[in-house]
Amino acid sequence: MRKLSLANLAQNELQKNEANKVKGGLCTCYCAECTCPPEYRVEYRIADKVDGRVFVSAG
Amino acid sequence: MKKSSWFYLDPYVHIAIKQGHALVYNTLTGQALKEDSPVIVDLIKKLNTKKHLLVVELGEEELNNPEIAAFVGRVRHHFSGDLIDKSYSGGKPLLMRPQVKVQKDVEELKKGGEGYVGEEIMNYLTEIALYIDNSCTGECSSCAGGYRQFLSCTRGHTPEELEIEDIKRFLNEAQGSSLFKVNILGGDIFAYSKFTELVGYLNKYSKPKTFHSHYLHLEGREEEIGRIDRAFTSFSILVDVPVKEDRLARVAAMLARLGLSQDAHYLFVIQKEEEIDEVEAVASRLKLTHYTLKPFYNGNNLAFFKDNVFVNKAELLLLKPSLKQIFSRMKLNPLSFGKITVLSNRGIYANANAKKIGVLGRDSLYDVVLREMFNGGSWRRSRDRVAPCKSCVYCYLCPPLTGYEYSLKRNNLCNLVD
Repeated sequence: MRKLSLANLAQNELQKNEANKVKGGLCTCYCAECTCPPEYRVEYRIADKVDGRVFVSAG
Repeated sequence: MKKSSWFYLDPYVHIAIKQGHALVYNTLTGQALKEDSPVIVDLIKKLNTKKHLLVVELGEEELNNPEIAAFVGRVRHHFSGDLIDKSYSGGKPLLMRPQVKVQKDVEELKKGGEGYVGEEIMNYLTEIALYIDNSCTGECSSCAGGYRQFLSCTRGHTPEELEIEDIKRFLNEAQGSSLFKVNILGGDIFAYSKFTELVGYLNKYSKPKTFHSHYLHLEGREEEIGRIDRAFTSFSILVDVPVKEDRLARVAAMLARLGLSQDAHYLFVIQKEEEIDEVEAVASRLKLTHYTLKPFYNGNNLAFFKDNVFVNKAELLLLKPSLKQIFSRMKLNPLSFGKITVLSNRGIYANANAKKIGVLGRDSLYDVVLREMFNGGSWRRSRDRVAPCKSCVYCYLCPPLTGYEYSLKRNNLCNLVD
Protein backbone atom coordinates (compact mmCIF):
# COMPACT_ATOMS: atom_id res chain seq x y z
CA MET A 1 0.00 0.00 0.00
CA ARG A 2 1.41 3.40 -0.97
CA LYS A 3 1.89 5.65 2.04
CA LEU A 4 -0.01 8.63 0.62
CA SER A 5 -2.77 6.66 -1.05
CA LEU A 6 -6.21 7.99 -0.20
CA ALA A 7 -7.11 4.43 0.80
CA ASN A 8 -4.32 4.41 3.39
CA LEU A 9 -4.99 7.96 4.62
CA ALA A 10 -8.71 7.33 5.03
CA GLN A 11 -8.08 4.01 6.74
CA ASN A 12 -5.74 5.66 9.25
CA GLU A 13 -8.26 8.39 9.90
CA LEU A 14 -11.06 5.87 10.44
CA GLN A 15 -8.89 3.82 12.78
CA LYS A 16 -8.08 6.97 14.77
CA ASN A 17 -11.81 7.75 14.98
CA GLU A 18 -12.55 4.26 16.21
CA ALA A 19 -9.73 4.43 18.76
CA ASN A 20 -11.05 7.75 20.05
CA LYS A 21 -14.52 6.30 20.33
CA VAL A 22 -13.16 3.37 22.29
CA LYS A 23 -11.35 5.78 24.61
CA GLY A 24 -14.57 7.74 24.99
CA GLY A 25 -16.52 4.56 25.65
CA LEU A 26 -18.60 4.96 22.50
CA CYS A 27 -20.04 2.56 19.98
CA THR A 28 -17.70 1.48 17.19
CA CYS A 29 -19.58 -1.47 15.86
CA TYR A 30 -22.78 -0.14 14.29
CA CYS A 31 -24.35 -3.45 15.28
CA ALA A 32 -27.85 -4.18 16.50
CA GLU A 33 -26.63 -5.75 19.73
CA CYS A 34 -24.82 -2.58 20.73
CA THR A 35 -26.24 -0.81 23.74
CA CYS A 36 -23.92 2.20 23.56
CA PRO A 37 -25.42 5.71 23.45
CA PRO A 38 -25.23 6.72 19.75
CA GLU A 39 -28.62 6.15 18.18
CA TYR A 40 -27.42 6.72 14.67
CA ARG A 41 -25.83 3.43 13.91
CA VAL A 42 -26.31 0.73 11.38
CA GLU A 43 -27.60 -2.70 12.19
CA TYR A 44 -28.11 -5.94 10.33
CA ARG A 45 -31.60 -6.91 9.47
CA ILE A 46 -32.62 -10.34 8.37
CA ALA A 47 -34.85 -10.28 5.32
CA ASP A 48 -37.63 -11.91 7.23
CA LYS A 49 -40.54 -10.29 5.48
CA VAL A 50 -41.16 -9.68 1.84
CA ASP A 51 -44.44 -8.13 0.80
CA GLY A 52 -45.86 -8.87 4.23
CA ARG A 53 -45.17 -12.60 4.02
CA VAL A 54 -42.77 -14.18 6.47
CA PHE A 55 -40.18 -16.14 4.58
CA VAL A 56 -39.63 -19.53 6.08
CA SER A 57 -38.92 -21.16 2.78
CA ALA A 58 -39.48 -20.29 -0.82
CA GLY A 59 -40.75 -22.89 -3.19
CA MET B 1 -33.80 -37.26 -15.78
CA LYS B 2 -32.04 -33.95 -16.19
CA LYS B 3 -29.76 -32.97 -13.34
CA SER B 4 -30.11 -29.54 -11.77
CA SER B 5 -28.54 -27.76 -8.81
CA TRP B 6 -29.08 -24.91 -6.40
CA PHE B 7 -26.51 -22.19 -6.93
CA TYR B 8 -26.06 -19.79 -4.03
CA LEU B 9 -23.97 -16.85 -2.93
CA ASP B 10 -23.03 -16.64 0.75
CA PRO B 11 -24.66 -13.93 2.93
CA TYR B 12 -21.31 -12.35 3.73
CA VAL B 13 -20.87 -11.50 0.05
CA HIS B 14 -21.47 -7.90 -1.00
CA ILE B 15 -23.16 -7.57 -4.38
CA ALA B 16 -23.14 -4.38 -6.43
CA ILE B 17 -24.79 -4.05 -9.82
CA LYS B 18 -24.35 -0.82 -11.75
CA GLN B 19 -24.72 0.03 -15.43
CA GLY B 20 -24.32 -3.46 -16.82
CA HIS B 21 -21.47 -4.44 -14.47
CA ALA B 22 -21.62 -6.54 -11.34
CA LEU B 23 -19.31 -6.99 -8.39
CA VAL B 24 -19.29 -10.02 -6.12
CA TYR B 25 -17.09 -9.11 -3.16
CA ASN B 26 -16.25 -11.59 -0.42
CA THR B 27 -16.15 -9.50 2.76
CA LEU B 28 -14.26 -12.19 4.66
CA THR B 29 -11.38 -12.73 2.26
CA GLY B 30 -11.39 -9.39 0.43
CA GLN B 31 -11.53 -11.11 -2.95
CA ALA B 32 -13.67 -9.58 -5.67
CA LEU B 33 -15.14 -10.72 -8.98
CA LYS B 34 -16.09 -8.02 -11.45
CA GLU B 35 -18.39 -9.40 -14.08
CA ASP B 36 -19.26 -7.65 -17.34
CA SER B 37 -21.00 -10.34 -19.37
CA PRO B 38 -24.77 -9.68 -19.67
CA VAL B 39 -25.51 -13.38 -18.99
CA ILE B 40 -23.59 -13.35 -15.72
CA VAL B 41 -24.82 -9.91 -14.67
CA ASP B 42 -28.40 -11.11 -15.18
CA LEU B 43 -27.70 -14.20 -13.10
CA ILE B 44 -26.27 -12.08 -10.26
CA LYS B 45 -29.24 -9.71 -10.50
CA LYS B 46 -31.57 -12.69 -10.13
CA LEU B 47 -29.64 -14.01 -7.11
CA ASN B 48 -29.85 -10.60 -5.46
CA THR B 49 -33.65 -10.28 -5.62
CA LYS B 50 -35.94 -10.67 -2.62
CA LYS B 51 -37.72 -13.41 -4.52
CA HIS B 52 -34.63 -15.59 -4.80
CA LEU B 53 -32.71 -14.61 -1.66
CA LEU B 54 -29.28 -15.55 -2.98
CA VAL B 55 -30.33 -18.99 -4.28
CA VAL B 56 -31.28 -19.92 -7.86
CA GLU B 57 -31.78 -23.15 -9.68
CA LEU B 58 -29.31 -23.93 -12.44
CA GLY B 59 -30.37 -26.63 -14.89
CA GLU B 60 -28.10 -28.92 -16.84
CA GLU B 61 -28.27 -26.65 -19.85
CA GLU B 62 -27.14 -23.64 -17.85
CA LEU B 63 -24.40 -25.59 -16.13
CA ASN B 64 -23.13 -26.65 -19.51
CA ASN B 65 -22.95 -23.05 -20.65
CA PRO B 66 -19.19 -22.35 -20.53
CA GLU B 67 -19.73 -18.75 -19.42
CA ILE B 68 -21.94 -19.72 -16.46
CA ALA B 69 -19.81 -22.74 -15.59
CA ALA B 70 -16.70 -20.54 -15.49
CA PHE B 71 -18.47 -18.00 -13.25
CA VAL B 72 -19.63 -20.73 -10.88
CA GLY B 73 -16.04 -21.96 -10.78
CA ARG B 74 -14.75 -18.48 -9.92
CA VAL B 75 -17.35 -18.07 -7.17
CA ARG B 76 -16.45 -21.45 -5.65
CA HIS B 77 -12.74 -20.71 -5.92
CA HIS B 78 -13.28 -17.48 -3.90
CA PHE B 79 -15.46 -19.29 -1.32
CA SER B 80 -18.24 -16.84 -2.15
CA GLY B 81 -20.86 -19.45 -2.92
CA ASP B 82 -21.41 -23.01 -4.09
CA LEU B 83 -23.57 -25.51 -5.93
CA ILE B 84 -25.76 -28.04 -4.12
CA ASP B 85 -27.36 -30.98 -5.83
CA LYS B 86 -31.11 -30.31 -5.96
CA SER B 87 -31.86 -33.83 -4.77
CA TYR B 88 -30.66 -32.83 -1.27
CA SER B 89 -33.66 -30.60 -0.63
CA GLY B 90 -37.37 -30.98 -1.21
CA GLY B 91 -38.09 -27.24 -1.39
CA LYS B 92 -36.03 -24.32 -2.48
CA PRO B 93 -33.55 -23.30 0.22
CA LEU B 94 -33.02 -19.67 1.06
CA LEU B 95 -30.31 -17.61 2.62
CA MET B 96 -30.97 -14.72 4.94
CA ARG B 97 -29.64 -11.76 3.02
CA PRO B 98 -28.42 -9.03 5.40
CA GLN B 99 -29.94 -5.64 4.73
CA VAL B 100 -28.95 -2.32 6.14
CA LYS B 101 -31.34 -0.56 8.47
CA VAL B 102 -30.75 2.57 10.51
CA GLN B 103 -32.40 2.97 13.87
CA LYS B 104 -34.30 6.23 13.78
CA ASP B 105 -33.37 6.89 10.16
CA VAL B 106 -33.75 10.61 9.64
CA GLU B 107 -35.41 10.08 6.25
CA GLU B 108 -38.06 7.89 7.89
CA LEU B 109 -38.51 10.29 10.78
CA LYS B 110 -39.07 13.11 8.30
CA LYS B 111 -42.01 11.17 6.94
CA GLY B 112 -43.55 11.20 10.41
CA GLY B 113 -42.47 7.84 11.74
CA GLU B 114 -42.02 7.04 15.39
CA GLY B 115 -40.08 9.57 17.43
CA TYR B 116 -38.72 12.81 16.06
CA VAL B 117 -35.40 13.82 14.57
CA GLY B 118 -34.33 15.89 17.53
CA GLU B 119 -34.65 13.05 20.00
CA GLU B 120 -31.25 12.26 21.50
CA ILE B 121 -29.70 14.12 18.60
CA MET B 122 -26.71 15.28 20.65
CA ASN B 123 -25.54 11.68 20.69
CA TYR B 124 -24.56 12.17 17.05
CA LEU B 125 -21.98 14.80 17.90
CA THR B 126 -18.49 13.34 18.30
CA GLU B 127 -15.90 16.00 17.46
CA ILE B 128 -15.61 19.80 17.45
CA ALA B 129 -12.91 21.90 15.80
CA LEU B 130 -12.64 25.49 17.00
CA TYR B 131 -10.56 27.98 14.99
CA ILE B 132 -10.14 30.40 17.85
CA ASP B 133 -8.21 33.02 15.83
CA ASN B 134 -6.69 33.56 12.40
CA SER B 135 -3.61 35.61 13.14
CA CYS B 136 -0.28 34.30 11.93
CA THR B 137 2.89 35.76 10.47
CA GLY B 138 3.95 32.58 8.72
CA GLU B 139 4.10 32.09 4.98
CA CYS B 140 3.25 28.41 4.51
CA SER B 141 2.31 27.54 0.95
CA SER B 142 -0.40 25.18 2.19
CA CYS B 143 -2.07 27.85 4.31
CA ALA B 144 -4.92 29.02 2.09
CA GLY B 145 -6.45 25.65 1.31
CA GLY B 146 -4.89 23.18 3.70
CA TYR B 147 -7.60 23.42 6.32
CA ARG B 148 -10.17 22.42 3.69
CA GLN B 149 -8.28 19.19 2.97
CA PHE B 150 -7.32 18.11 6.49
CA LEU B 151 -7.41 19.50 10.01
CA SER B 152 -4.74 22.22 10.08
CA CYS B 153 -4.25 25.85 10.95
CA THR B 154 -4.95 28.70 8.55
CA ARG B 155 -4.58 32.46 8.62
CA GLY B 156 -6.81 35.29 7.43
CA HIS B 157 -6.26 38.70 5.87
CA THR B 158 -8.18 40.60 8.54
CA PRO B 159 -7.73 39.59 12.18
CA GLU B 160 -10.58 37.59 13.68
CA GLU B 161 -11.06 35.68 16.88
CA LEU B 162 -13.88 33.90 18.65
CA GLU B 163 -15.36 35.39 21.81
CA ILE B 164 -14.29 33.36 24.85
CA GLU B 165 -17.83 33.43 26.24
CA ASP B 166 -19.22 32.03 22.97
CA ILE B 167 -16.65 29.20 23.08
CA LYS B 168 -17.56 28.36 26.67
CA ARG B 169 -21.28 28.39 25.94
CA PHE B 170 -20.81 26.20 22.87
CA LEU B 171 -18.67 23.65 24.69
CA ASN B 172 -20.96 23.65 27.72
CA GLU B 173 -23.83 22.71 25.42
CA ALA B 174 -21.79 19.72 24.26
CA GLN B 175 -21.26 18.39 27.79
CA GLY B 176 -24.13 15.93 27.62
CA SER B 177 -23.32 14.75 24.11
CA SER B 178 -21.17 11.91 22.81
CA LEU B 179 -18.37 14.35 22.06
CA PHE B 180 -15.02 12.64 22.34
CA LYS B 181 -12.65 15.28 21.07
CA VAL B 182 -12.23 19.06 21.00
CA ASN B 183 -9.70 20.46 18.53
CA ILE B 184 -8.25 23.90 19.16
CA LEU B 185 -6.76 25.59 16.09
CA GLY B 186 -5.76 29.04 14.77
CA GLY B 187 -3.89 30.98 13.20
CA ASP B 188 -1.43 31.01 15.97
CA ILE B 189 -3.40 29.72 18.96
CA PHE B 190 -0.89 31.29 21.37
CA ALA B 191 -1.71 34.71 19.90
CA TYR B 192 -5.34 34.35 20.97
CA SER B 193 -6.03 37.25 23.33
CA LYS B 194 -7.75 35.08 25.97
CA PHE B 195 -5.45 32.06 25.64
CA THR B 196 -4.74 31.77 29.37
CA GLU B 197 -8.43 32.00 30.25
CA LEU B 198 -9.27 29.44 27.55
CA VAL B 199 -6.66 27.00 28.83
CA GLY B 200 -8.01 27.45 32.38
CA TYR B 201 -11.49 26.59 31.12
CA LEU B 202 -10.33 23.63 29.00
CA ASN B 203 -8.27 22.21 31.87
CA LYS B 204 -11.55 21.72 33.71
CA TYR B 205 -13.44 20.53 30.62
CA SER B 206 -13.99 16.81 30.84
CA LYS B 207 -13.53 15.84 27.15
CA PRO B 208 -10.21 15.02 25.42
CA LYS B 209 -8.55 17.98 23.74
CA THR B 210 -6.05 18.36 20.89
CA PHE B 211 -4.14 21.61 20.42
CA HIS B 212 -3.08 22.16 16.81
CA SER B 213 -0.15 24.40 16.09
CA HIS B 214 2.46 25.11 13.44
CA TYR B 215 5.82 24.01 14.82
CA LEU B 216 7.29 27.51 14.60
CA HIS B 217 4.46 28.84 16.78
CA LEU B 218 5.58 26.53 19.58
CA GLU B 219 9.02 28.15 19.84
CA GLY B 220 9.36 30.04 23.10
CA ARG B 221 5.93 28.93 24.32
CA GLU B 222 7.16 26.59 27.04
CA GLU B 223 5.37 28.55 29.75
CA GLU B 224 2.01 28.61 27.92
CA ILE B 225 2.24 24.91 27.07
CA GLY B 226 3.19 24.14 30.65
CA ARG B 227 -0.12 25.63 31.81
CA ILE B 228 -2.09 23.09 29.79
CA ASP B 229 -3.30 20.15 31.86
CA ARG B 230 -1.78 17.05 30.31
CA ALA B 231 -4.66 14.72 31.17
CA PHE B 232 -6.59 13.83 28.02
CA THR B 233 -4.59 16.37 26.01
CA SER B 234 -2.57 15.88 22.85
CA PHE B 235 -0.75 18.12 20.41
CA SER B 236 -0.90 18.06 16.62
CA ILE B 237 2.09 19.87 15.16
CA LEU B 238 1.97 21.03 11.56
CA VAL B 239 5.28 21.02 9.69
CA ASP B 240 5.56 22.43 6.19
CA VAL B 241 8.35 21.57 3.78
CA PRO B 242 11.17 22.59 3.43
CA VAL B 243 11.62 21.87 7.13
CA LYS B 244 13.72 24.19 9.26
CA GLU B 245 15.32 21.22 10.93
CA ASP B 246 17.23 23.00 13.68
CA ARG B 247 14.09 24.82 14.81
CA LEU B 248 11.98 21.66 14.66
CA ALA B 249 14.66 19.92 16.73
CA ARG B 250 14.41 22.66 19.37
CA VAL B 251 10.61 22.28 19.47
CA ALA B 252 10.90 18.50 19.81
CA ALA B 253 13.44 18.96 22.61
CA MET B 254 11.17 21.41 24.42
CA LEU B 255 8.24 18.98 24.22
CA ALA B 256 10.51 16.23 25.56
CA ARG B 257 11.52 18.49 28.50
CA LEU B 258 7.82 19.00 29.25
CA GLY B 259 7.27 15.24 29.05
CA LEU B 260 4.98 15.65 26.04
CA SER B 261 6.83 13.63 23.39
CA GLN B 262 4.31 10.79 23.53
CA ASP B 263 1.37 13.20 23.28
CA ALA B 264 2.74 15.07 20.25
CA HIS B 265 1.92 14.04 16.70
CA TYR B 266 3.70 15.69 13.76
CA LEU B 267 1.84 16.37 10.52
CA PHE B 268 4.18 16.90 7.55
CA VAL B 269 2.56 18.60 4.58
CA ILE B 270 3.71 17.08 1.28
CA GLN B 271 3.21 18.70 -2.11
CA LYS B 272 5.59 16.74 -4.32
CA GLU B 273 7.14 13.31 -4.41
CA GLU B 274 10.70 14.36 -3.56
CA GLU B 275 9.47 15.75 -0.24
CA ILE B 276 8.53 12.28 0.97
CA ASP B 277 12.18 11.18 1.28
CA GLU B 278 13.18 14.54 2.73
CA VAL B 279 10.58 14.29 5.47
CA GLU B 280 11.35 10.65 6.22
CA ALA B 281 15.02 11.60 6.65
CA VAL B 282 14.20 14.50 8.99
CA ALA B 283 11.87 12.33 11.09
CA SER B 284 14.53 9.67 11.32
CA ARG B 285 17.31 12.13 12.31
CA LEU B 286 15.11 13.74 14.98
CA LYS B 287 13.82 10.33 16.11
CA LEU B 288 10.20 11.38 15.66
CA THR B 289 8.01 8.34 16.03
CA HIS B 290 4.50 9.80 15.91
CA TYR B 291 4.18 11.49 12.54
CA THR B 292 1.96 11.44 9.45
CA LEU B 293 2.50 12.66 5.92
CA LYS B 294 -0.42 14.65 4.55
CA PRO B 295 -0.55 15.35 0.83
CA PHE B 296 -1.69 18.87 -0.04
CA TYR B 297 -3.30 19.76 -3.34
CA ASN B 298 -2.08 23.21 -4.35
CA GLY B 299 -3.83 23.43 -7.70
CA ASN B 300 -0.71 22.56 -9.66
CA ASN B 301 0.26 19.10 -8.45
CA LEU B 302 -2.40 16.91 -10.00
CA ALA B 303 0.25 14.54 -11.41
CA PHE B 304 1.65 14.02 -7.90
CA PHE B 305 -1.84 13.22 -6.66
CA LYS B 306 -2.54 10.85 -9.55
CA ASP B 307 0.71 8.99 -8.88
CA ASN B 308 0.60 8.89 -5.09
CA VAL B 309 -2.86 9.60 -3.73
CA PHE B 310 -5.41 8.27 -6.22
CA VAL B 311 -6.56 4.80 -5.21
CA ASN B 312 -6.29 1.74 -7.39
CA LYS B 313 -8.26 -1.49 -7.33
CA ALA B 314 -5.54 -3.49 -5.57
CA GLU B 315 -5.45 -1.02 -2.66
CA LEU B 316 -9.22 -1.05 -2.27
CA LEU B 317 -9.18 -4.82 -1.93
CA LEU B 318 -6.17 -4.72 0.36
CA LEU B 319 -8.22 -2.72 2.89
CA LYS B 320 -10.76 -5.58 3.00
CA PRO B 321 -13.73 -3.45 4.02
CA SER B 322 -16.10 -5.51 6.15
CA LEU B 323 -19.84 -5.84 5.60
CA LYS B 324 -20.40 -3.49 8.54
CA GLN B 325 -18.13 -0.87 6.99
CA ILE B 326 -19.88 -1.25 3.65
CA PHE B 327 -23.27 -0.84 5.31
CA SER B 328 -22.18 2.24 7.19
CA ARG B 329 -20.88 3.75 3.92
CA MET B 330 -24.30 3.23 2.36
CA LYS B 331 -25.93 5.45 4.94
CA LEU B 332 -23.40 8.01 6.05
CA ASN B 333 -19.91 9.37 5.63
CA PRO B 334 -17.95 7.74 8.48
CA LEU B 335 -15.12 10.27 8.11
CA SER B 336 -17.22 13.38 8.60
CA PHE B 337 -20.24 12.15 10.54
CA GLY B 338 -20.56 13.82 13.93
CA LYS B 339 -17.95 16.53 13.31
CA ILE B 340 -18.55 20.26 13.64
CA THR B 341 -16.11 23.02 12.65
CA VAL B 342 -16.28 26.63 13.86
CA LEU B 343 -14.11 29.03 11.88
CA SER B 344 -12.67 32.24 13.32
CA ASN B 345 -15.38 34.23 11.47
CA ARG B 346 -17.90 32.48 13.81
CA GLY B 347 -19.33 30.43 10.95
CA ILE B 348 -20.32 26.89 11.96
CA TYR B 349 -19.86 24.11 9.42
CA ALA B 350 -20.36 20.37 9.29
CA ASN B 351 -17.44 20.40 6.87
CA ALA B 352 -15.12 23.31 6.08
CA ASN B 353 -15.98 22.88 2.38
CA ALA B 354 -19.75 22.86 2.76
CA LYS B 355 -22.35 25.55 3.38
CA LYS B 356 -22.54 27.30 6.73
CA ILE B 357 -25.08 25.71 9.07
CA GLY B 358 -24.97 28.28 11.85
CA VAL B 359 -23.24 31.19 13.54
CA LEU B 360 -21.46 30.95 16.88
CA GLY B 361 -23.15 33.13 19.48
CA ARG B 362 -26.43 33.08 17.56
CA ASP B 363 -27.28 29.41 17.01
CA SER B 364 -27.23 26.71 19.64
CA LEU B 365 -25.19 23.56 19.14
CA TYR B 366 -28.42 21.57 19.21
CA ASP B 367 -29.83 23.63 16.33
CA VAL B 368 -26.80 23.18 14.10
CA VAL B 369 -26.65 19.43 14.68
CA LEU B 370 -30.36 19.21 13.92
CA ARG B 371 -29.90 21.32 10.78
CA GLU B 372 -27.12 19.10 9.51
CA MET B 373 -29.10 15.93 10.18
CA PHE B 374 -32.18 17.32 8.51
CA ASN B 375 -30.90 19.30 5.55
CA GLY B 376 -27.14 19.09 5.58
CA GLY B 377 -24.98 17.68 2.88
CA SER B 378 -21.89 16.53 4.77
CA TRP B 379 -22.50 13.92 7.43
CA ARG B 380 -24.60 11.74 5.20
CA ARG B 381 -22.75 12.49 1.96
CA SER B 382 -21.81 9.04 0.79
CA ARG B 383 -20.30 8.06 -2.54
CA ASP B 384 -23.58 6.72 -3.86
CA ARG B 385 -24.89 10.30 -3.84
CA VAL B 386 -22.18 11.74 -6.08
CA ALA B 387 -21.17 11.24 -9.72
CA PRO B 388 -19.41 9.32 -11.12
CA CYS B 389 -18.99 7.15 -7.99
CA LYS B 390 -22.69 6.32 -7.79
CA SER B 391 -22.36 4.47 -11.10
CA CYS B 392 -19.30 2.49 -10.03
CA VAL B 393 -19.54 -1.04 -8.61
CA TYR B 394 -16.62 -0.27 -6.25
CA CYS B 395 -18.55 2.67 -4.74
CA TYR B 396 -18.89 1.18 -1.22
CA LEU B 397 -15.43 -0.36 -1.17
CA CYS B 398 -13.88 3.06 -1.75
CA PRO B 399 -12.83 5.20 1.23
CA PRO B 400 -15.45 7.81 2.21
CA LEU B 401 -15.35 11.29 0.63
CA THR B 402 -12.75 13.58 2.20
CA GLY B 403 -11.76 17.21 1.81
CA TYR B 404 -9.54 16.33 -1.14
CA GLU B 405 -12.48 15.64 -3.44
CA TYR B 406 -13.74 19.19 -2.86
CA SER B 407 -10.35 20.73 -3.52
CA LEU B 408 -9.70 18.72 -6.68
CA LYS B 409 -13.30 19.33 -7.79
CA ARG B 410 -13.76 15.66 -8.66
CA ASN B 411 -15.19 12.84 -6.60
CA ASN B 412 -13.36 9.92 -8.16
CA LEU B 413 -9.82 10.17 -6.86
CA CYS B 414 -9.07 6.84 -8.45
CA ASN B 415 -7.99 5.20 -11.65
CA LEU B 416 -11.09 2.99 -11.78
CA VAL B 417 -13.49 5.48 -13.38
CA ASP B 418 -12.53 8.26 -15.84
